[in-house]
Amino acid sequence: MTITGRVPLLVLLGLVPVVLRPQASTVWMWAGLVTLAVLLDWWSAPSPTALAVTRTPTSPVRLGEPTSTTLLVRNTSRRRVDGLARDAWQPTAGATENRHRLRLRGDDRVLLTTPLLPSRRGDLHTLGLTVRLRGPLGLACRQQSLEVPGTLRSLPAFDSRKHLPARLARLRELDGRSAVRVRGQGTEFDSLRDYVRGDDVRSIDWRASARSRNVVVRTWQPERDRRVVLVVDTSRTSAGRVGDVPRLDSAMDAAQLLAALSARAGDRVDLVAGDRRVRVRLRTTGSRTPTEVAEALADLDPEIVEADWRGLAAAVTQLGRRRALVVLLTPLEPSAVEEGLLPVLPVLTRHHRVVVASVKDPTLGELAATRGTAEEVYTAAAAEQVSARRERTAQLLRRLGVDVLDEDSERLPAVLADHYLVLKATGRL
Amino acid sequence: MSSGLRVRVRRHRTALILTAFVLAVVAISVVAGQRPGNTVPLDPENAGPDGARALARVLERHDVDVTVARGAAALESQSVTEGTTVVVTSTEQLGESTLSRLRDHASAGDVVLVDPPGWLTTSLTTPPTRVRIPQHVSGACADPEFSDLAIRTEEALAFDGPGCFGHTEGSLLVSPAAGLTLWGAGQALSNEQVVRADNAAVALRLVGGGSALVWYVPDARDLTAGDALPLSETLPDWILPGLWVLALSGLALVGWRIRRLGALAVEPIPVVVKAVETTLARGRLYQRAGDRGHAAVALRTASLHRLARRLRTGSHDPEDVVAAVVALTGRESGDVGRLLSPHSAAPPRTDRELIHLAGQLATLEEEVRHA
Repeated sequence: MTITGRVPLLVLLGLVPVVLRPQASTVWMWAGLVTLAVLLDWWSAPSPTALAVTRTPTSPVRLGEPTSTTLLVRNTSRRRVDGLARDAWQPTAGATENRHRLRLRGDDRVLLTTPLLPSRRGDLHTLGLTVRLRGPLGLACRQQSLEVPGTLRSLPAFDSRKHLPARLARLRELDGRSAVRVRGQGTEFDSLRDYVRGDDVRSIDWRASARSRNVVVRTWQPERDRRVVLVVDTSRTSAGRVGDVPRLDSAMDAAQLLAALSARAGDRVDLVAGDRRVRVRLRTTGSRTPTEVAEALADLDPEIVEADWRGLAAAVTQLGRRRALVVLLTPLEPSAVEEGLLPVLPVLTRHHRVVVASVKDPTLGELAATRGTAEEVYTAAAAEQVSARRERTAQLLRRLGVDVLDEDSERLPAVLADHYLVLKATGRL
Repeated sequence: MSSGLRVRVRRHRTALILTAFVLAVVAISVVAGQRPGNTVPLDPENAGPDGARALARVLERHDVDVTVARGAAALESQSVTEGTTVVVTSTEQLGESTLSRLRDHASAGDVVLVDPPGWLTTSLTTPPTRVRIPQHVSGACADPEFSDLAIRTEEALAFDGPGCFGHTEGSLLVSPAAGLTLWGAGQALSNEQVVRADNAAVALRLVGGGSALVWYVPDARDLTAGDALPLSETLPDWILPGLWVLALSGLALVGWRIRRLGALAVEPIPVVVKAVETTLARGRLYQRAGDRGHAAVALRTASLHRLARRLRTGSHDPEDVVAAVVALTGRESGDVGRLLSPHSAAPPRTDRELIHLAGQLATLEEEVRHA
C-alpha cells in the first residue's frame, strides 16, 4: 500500500474544522476520517496482477550505442486502470526515462518503450517492472513488482575499428601485387600476366615467356584459408586496470580488430577464452566472424584465479591440428607466464605460429622516471625491476620462437593487426 | 449537450468528489460548532449546559437584585455598597490591573472569584491544583453557612490553606483576604450541574448572601499593557489542535514519500585491480626495509641495459657500455664506471645518497640521448 500526495493535503484541510471547533477530538476525528478514506480507496484500487506484461527481445548493441526496450502491457480486467509503471534495469543499462504513466481501459493494451544506453560490456539485466495503481479517489495505491525478464547484450567497445580501413587497404595492396617480395613457401601462385616495368625480375617466368611473344611474370596472391586462433586470457592478470580500462577489455579490442581483418582476408577465425576453465570455444565462419566474436566476448569478466594454460592449449588443439596463427592475448606477467604458459608453449609452437600480445602499463615507465623523493626513488627502483623482469620474460618467449608484442592499450590492436599483415605478406602464417 | 456534460463530470470526477467531501465536512463542523446565543461558560445569559442563566434567574426570584456588568466600565458605573456581592466569572479574562480596579471599586462589598487561574492569584495564595472529585465534597468547616452542605461535580480547583469543602489537595472555598472569596468549583454553578446534590444551596449562599448582586463578566480589552498574560491566554484556541493537524500532515507527507517505486537498482561490480598496485607495494617494501643496495642495483642495471641498447654495444657488460658512454660524452671513465657498474660500486649509505645516485643516472642517460 502506498499513499499519494493528496493525503497530506487532505490532512491539512483539517485546519478548517479545527478552527471552527478548536478541540483535540476534532483532530482525531479528522484523522480517523482521512484514514478511513485512504483505506477505502486502497481497498477499491485495482490489483497490479490484472496486467499481463510481455517484453519484446532487444537485439545486441555496441557499448555506448542507444537502443530501447519495449513492453506490451495488457489490462486483462474490465476495470479502468490508472497509475505508474517503472521498468527497472541495472544502472549501467542507462534506462533513464523508465517511468511510464499507465492509463488503460478494460481490455486495453499499450506499448511502453524505455530508451537504453549501455555503459558497460556484458549482459545487462532487468530488475522487474514495478506497477503502482491508484484507487478511484487517488488517495492510495496498490504497488507490486512483476517479474518481466529481459536482457540486453552490450557488445564490447570496438574503438580500434578506426584502424580497420587502413589495414584493409594494405590487404588489398597485398592481394594485387605481382609478386610478394619474399618468395616463401606460403605464397600461392595466382596467374601469369605481361611484364610491366617495375616488376621484380625474379618473378619472370622464363618458361612461359619462351612460349609467348612477351615477357611474362607470375603473380602471386597472399595465402588464403589460413587459420587464426585467438586465445583470450580471462584470469587474474587480465583483471588489472590500466588507466580506466581493464586489460581484458583492451585485449578484446585487439581481438576484434584482428578477427575483422583476418575474416576479410579469407582466413578462418577461431576463439578460445578462459581462465581455470575454458569459457568460450568458438568456430566462426566467413562474414559473420566479427559479430560472432563480439557476442562471444561480451559477457566475459576477469576471474581472480590463475589461468590453466594446459586446458586452454588443449582447447586450441581440439579446434584442429592444422597449422594456425595462435594469438595469446595475455598480460606479460613474469610469474604467471613462467609458471603457467612456458611449460605448455612447446606443444603450441610445434604445430603453430604463436604470438603473445600483451597490454603494457605506461604508468610503469612514468614511475621509473620520477625520482624526486626517497619514496619515488624506491618506487622507481621497483618499477625498473618489474620492467626488467618483463623484458626477461619476453626474451625467454622469443627464444622459444614466439612473437611478443608488448604495447600500450591504444597501440596494441594496430600493432597486432600490422604484425598479422607482415606474417601474411611474408607467407609465414 | 448532456453527453458533453457527462464527459466533463467524468473527467473531473475525482476533483468533484474531493470538493464535495470537503464542503460536507466544513458544513457539518460549522453546524456542529455553532450554537445560538451566548456560549461563554458560566455566563449569566448562557442557557446551554455550561452557562449559568439558571442561577441568575433563581437569584432574581429570591429578590436579589442581579445586575450584569460586562467590562470594567460597566462595573464602575455600578455602586457597590455594603451587602453587595460582586461575583466574577470568566476570570481568565481578568488581569492584574482589572483585578485591582475591581477590588478598589468593590472594597465595600464582597468579591467572589469563580475558578481564578493560577497566575491571577499569585499575590494572594499559592497556585491551585486541578483535582478530580470522586463523589461528594462536604463543607466540613467552621463557617455555619456551608458546614452541613455537600457539593457534587467532576473537576475543581483546590486552593492551599484552610477553608471549606476540604479535599486532599486543599480546599475548594478559601478566603485569602477580607471581602475576597475564591471558589474553585465553578462547574457546580452551571445550568447542567446546579441541581445536583446541594450545589444549588451552596451557589445561593455563596453569591446570594447580600441584597444585591453584581455579576461582573470581565473583558480582556480592558487590560493594560502592563498585564502579563501568559502566552496560552492570548493565542487563539485552535492553535494547539492546529499544530496537531500540521504534525499529522507532516507524517502523511513522510508516508507519501517513504515508499520507492520498486527496489533500488543494483549493479553487479566485477573485480578490477589497478595494474601497478604490486609495483607500488614493492617500492614501499624496499623503503620500509631500507634496502638501498637492492634499489641501487635495480636502478643501475636498468640504466646500463638502456644505454647498451641505445649505444648498440651488443653486450650488457659494464666495461663495454662505460667505454661507449665515455667515447660519446667525453666524461671521465672512472666516474661513469662508479656510477654504472651494478655490483662493484659501494651501495649508497643514506636515502639522500640514493636519491643523488638516481638523479645522476637520469642525467647521464639524458646526456647520452642528446649527444
